Amino acid sequence: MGVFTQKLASMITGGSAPSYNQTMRRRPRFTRRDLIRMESRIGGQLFGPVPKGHRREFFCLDRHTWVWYEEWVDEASHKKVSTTTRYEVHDNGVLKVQEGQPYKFVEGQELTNLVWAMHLYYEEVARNIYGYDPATGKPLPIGA
Amino acid sequence: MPNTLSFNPDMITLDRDSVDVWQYPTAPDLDETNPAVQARAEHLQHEYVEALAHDEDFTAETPQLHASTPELRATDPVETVVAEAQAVVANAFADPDMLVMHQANEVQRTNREHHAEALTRAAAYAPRVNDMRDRALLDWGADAA
Repeated sequence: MGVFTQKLASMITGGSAPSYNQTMRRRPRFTRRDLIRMESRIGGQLFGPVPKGHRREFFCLDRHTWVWYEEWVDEASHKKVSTTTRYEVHDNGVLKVQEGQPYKFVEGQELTNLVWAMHLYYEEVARNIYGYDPATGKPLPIGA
Repeated sequence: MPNTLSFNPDMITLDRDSVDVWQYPTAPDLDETNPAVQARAEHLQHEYVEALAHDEDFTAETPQLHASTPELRATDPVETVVAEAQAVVANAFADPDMLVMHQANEVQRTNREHHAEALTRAAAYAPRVNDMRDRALLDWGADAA
């Protein structure tokens, strides 16, 4: 289990960073929401540094949906604002759904970047959360 | 009674028995069995071939014959299609507007291919992540036994 995942687990469970065995074997009580929350922390860092004062999450919601959540404080109004973008994978394209915006299919460079982010997300969570080799899909040795 | 004879050529018929025209001698120069005639014919044929080989008019006809070959080949459906396609391509690259259109079509085709590939990949990752998540919940999730 990677150091990063230990830190993530500590954020969820509280206390000092537990080892893989402590986290996954002694306290095997994660819910789906917990796992998604852990994944989203990884996902939020895939697009580079998060601007100061921003909170960013990117995660896979279900077998067809990805979510980008961005939250920050508006400098003018000093109010917290947020935007949620949902990417729905359909047979004919990836539909981008944003609040107050018309639905549209993702195309071109945006689609390339999105797929690249999905790829990195899969690799990172496979290796650092679930302990699988993303290339083979087989479990990684404990402690790898 | 006067012995008169009305002449009507159409009424004349040859009676092989009475007038054996087939016994008339054949002209020697037309007798193909005559060795002299054969030799003469071979000589004339040789001269004719030689004359053709050195005849400028004849050789000048050769390119014309070749030039007509594509027309003859154009009757072949495959050749016709290929020729037309080559002409279209040649025209496309000769005409700047057509070239731009061709390039635009190529870009569109490439974009479609990239889009299809990207969509295939996009559709693959979420199920993989969810499979890992489901296995994790079975192993050490709240629903685990």
